[in-house]
Amino acid sequence: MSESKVRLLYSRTNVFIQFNDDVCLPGVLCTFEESQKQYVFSWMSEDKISEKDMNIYREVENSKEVILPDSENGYFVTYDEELIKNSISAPLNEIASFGTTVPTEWYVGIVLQLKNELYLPTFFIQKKQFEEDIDVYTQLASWFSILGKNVYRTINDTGSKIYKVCDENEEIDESSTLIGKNQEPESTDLGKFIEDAKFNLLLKFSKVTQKGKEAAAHILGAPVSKPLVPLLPKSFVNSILSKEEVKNICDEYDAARQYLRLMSKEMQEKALNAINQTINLGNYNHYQKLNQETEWHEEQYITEIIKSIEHDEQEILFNPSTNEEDNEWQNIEMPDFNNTRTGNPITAEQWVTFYDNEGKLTKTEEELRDIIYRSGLENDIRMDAWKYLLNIFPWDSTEEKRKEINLTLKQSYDSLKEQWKKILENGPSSPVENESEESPQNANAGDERFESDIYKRIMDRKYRIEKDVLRTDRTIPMYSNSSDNLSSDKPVIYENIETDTSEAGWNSNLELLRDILVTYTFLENDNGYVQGMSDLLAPILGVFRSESDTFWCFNEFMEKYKNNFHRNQEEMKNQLSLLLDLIRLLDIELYEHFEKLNCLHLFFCFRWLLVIFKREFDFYDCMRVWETMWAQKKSDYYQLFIAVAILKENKAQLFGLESFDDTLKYINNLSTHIKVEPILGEAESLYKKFIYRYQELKDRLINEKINYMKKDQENGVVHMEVFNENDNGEQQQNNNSSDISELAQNEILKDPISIINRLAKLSNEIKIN
Amino acid sequence: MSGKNLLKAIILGDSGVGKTSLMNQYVNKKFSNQYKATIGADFLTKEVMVDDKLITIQIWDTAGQERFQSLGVAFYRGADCCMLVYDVNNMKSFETLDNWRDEFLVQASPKHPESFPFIVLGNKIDLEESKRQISQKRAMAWCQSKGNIPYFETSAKEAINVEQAFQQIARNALMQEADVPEFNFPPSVSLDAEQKQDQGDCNC
Repeated sequence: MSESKVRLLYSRTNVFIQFNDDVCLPGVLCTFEESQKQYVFSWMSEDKISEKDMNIYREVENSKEVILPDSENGYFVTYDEELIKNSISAPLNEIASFGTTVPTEWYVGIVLQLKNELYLPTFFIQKKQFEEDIDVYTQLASWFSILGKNVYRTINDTGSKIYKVCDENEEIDESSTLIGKNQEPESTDLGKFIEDAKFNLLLKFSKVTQKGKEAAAHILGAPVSKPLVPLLPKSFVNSILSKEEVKNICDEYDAARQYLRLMSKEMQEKALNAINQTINLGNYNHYQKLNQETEWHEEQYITEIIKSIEHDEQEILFNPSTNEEDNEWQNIEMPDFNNTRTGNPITAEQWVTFYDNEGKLTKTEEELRDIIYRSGLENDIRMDAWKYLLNIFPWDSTEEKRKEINLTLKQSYDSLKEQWKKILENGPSSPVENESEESPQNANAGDERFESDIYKRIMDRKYRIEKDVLRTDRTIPMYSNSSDNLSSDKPVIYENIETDTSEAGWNSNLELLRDILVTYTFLENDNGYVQGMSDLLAPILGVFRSESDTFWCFNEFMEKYKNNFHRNQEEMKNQLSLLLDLIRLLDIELYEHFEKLNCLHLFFCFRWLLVIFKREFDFYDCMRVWETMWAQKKSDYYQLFIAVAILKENKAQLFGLESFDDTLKYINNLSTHIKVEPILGEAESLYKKFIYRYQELKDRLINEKINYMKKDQENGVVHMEVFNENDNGEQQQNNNSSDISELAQNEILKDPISIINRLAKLSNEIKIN
Repeated sequence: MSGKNLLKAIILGDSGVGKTSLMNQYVNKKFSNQYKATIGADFLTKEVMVDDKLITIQIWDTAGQERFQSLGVAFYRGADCCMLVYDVNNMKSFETLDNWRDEFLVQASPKHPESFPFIVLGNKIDLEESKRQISQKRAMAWCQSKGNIPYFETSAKEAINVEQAFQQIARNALMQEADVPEFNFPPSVSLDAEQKQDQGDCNC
């Protein structure tokens, strides 16, 4: 085999393969006939090709006369051992499918998968002047086509679309769609004529004469040959078909092109991993090294998987196929992401009809939660309904029972309040202060010192609370300077309060806020008063107007969110990081934008989450947000879906911002300008989308892991986990693939830091099995 | 003279000492005693002439409660100067200045902590004298002990000394910058003065 020659059929120079980020090798992509009718698809390293042969490759590449496989003539090039060692080749019959990576301005990447499911490394084809991405792809398609292959579009088990390469007489499964040729080959004479003409048109277009053009126009106009049009040079097609026709045909073809993008980077990465296992690989030490170093990193798959989920979804949602055959292979059922909001809050008239004669609610808890979740409540029934939502009243309680509850709660509140008031009246209990006895919390004290003396502690908290109460919702009349108005009419919000420079007035409602907060910190001693609490309390007092009701409802509200205020701030960090995971799953573009801006910490959402959008919505809209959150039982983190909804609503503007500072400013300025209903509607849709995407991500990630482990195994890498230890200490290797999939599944599902398990916290409906 | 024309200033101090009010008085010439408690952080910018040079000063207002300072890292990054504010009528807010200063130095970790430009503002001097808990003398003594930090007594409400204090901190920050040519970046990276101001946004 020292000096063998092969007949070169096609050639493309300036095709690169990449070892890692910085090493690219130039080479030639070609197809040659190795022996009689045995074609090989190959990339050869340029520096191993002689100058003489290089000229032949170039000549074949630039030749307008394409060599037909059947013909005897042709160009012959050297194909020796040295070249084989420095090539990446596969028999054409071994090629199962292909796709392209996302094209850049200069390159188009082609990824080929072999029948044994391995991938060839990505070939980066340098574009020629004025060459379109599609031209590169169609060239590849035509190579296959000429060598007797059919190209089908199909879906692989991870959901990506792949172009399958099959023999012309090969049986294919029903889920595939033939492209690049007529959908239903006709065996008529015309069909045969066209089949023959196709070769002429494709291969000898440069020689079309005026007379030939007429024939060509006729042929190209026929529906069966439409798929051919995009394969031909534009200048040629334009000369024989009207612009409109060309456009229509090419548009159809462009749609197909979209699928190719799905292969994108995901395949590139696979290709690099699998590179070592390709046929005729030779001694590429780089590859071996690379392969050994590659360990499973979930992170490297996530973004690409999510992109492909997003893409599939968009395609199905926005390009619903009317072709039945298409629907068959697109057998992904798209769930309904629409929200169910009614836009009509429940009125008092409606609410009273929910009660029977005994004053018991006639609907079940689930029904009522669902109604409130979808509609919200009018302000005047909140003082009743919120007590159910906040676990004060059992949903099946009678009126009598509720009266009893109210009374007990009133007494407990009064007693609590009495206690701290008494302590304050008695004054400091230990007048001599010993610095050395300070509690350990004081070690890092900033402005919040934990006074060991209870009198001082209450005084300190009261002081802080008063400071904040004086600046809480002062534009709302019940908290404003002049008003003691306790009517439950929707108050008017004063504009331009900033111009008011009078002394901050104190009123009875501010006093209620203060007393409730002091009592709360007396009950919840550990956390003390934390800024933001007064913000949460103000709307609740606005609803109940009664001290004890407000206190207990606030206490229940805080049960859900008190960790937001914890000294270590762990819960806030937890929520921000869950929010990031959620943004990534629901809007990868937004995620990448924040990544680019270096603000994946999402601190601009801190206020949203700390006080549950209190500052972001108008006083009454905020109540709607809260009751919606309380009513649902889907997620303990429903606020995060609302947060993503707001971000998505403002996506276009956010994309225009180029720094964290600008983003923070923009988001701070959204305060009170956010429309509540569209956001709650979007949050519901996003929740539904989350459930769908979560399942997709889980399935695809596990698939990736299975593929990864299979390849490792083929490559002789033994996963420790593949060993089952028997009772007698012997180790036994399980090689069958069902064990591998079980293992892969376990590894993903039991890894607490896997995104799958992080995201699972976001829904009570997701069961990890 | 250095080409830097954006200064980032951080205002720190206990909750309720008047950080937001000082910032708004300086930038918007407005006062309201009804600014909500700051949650998270916000900032305002103002263009000012300092010694014949036009600069933009970006003033960061943060939450005053200590437990929220763990967020500081994101906001303090790239700070050129820091204003420590206390309420002259509240002893505790003065006593915690040490903590605020130390915490800032830890989180912002400037290259030259010993010469980093601070300024101290004793705010709310408009209230009646009988309420006052910290004398000017005591405050100045503290400032001196911390390396001669400039001290101003201010009233955000009456716009007393606000302009002067900001002018001073801007000047000190610019001087500091002239002394120490690079603050955040290795010198080899940032040759173009125009780029330097974007350092906080750099995403490389």
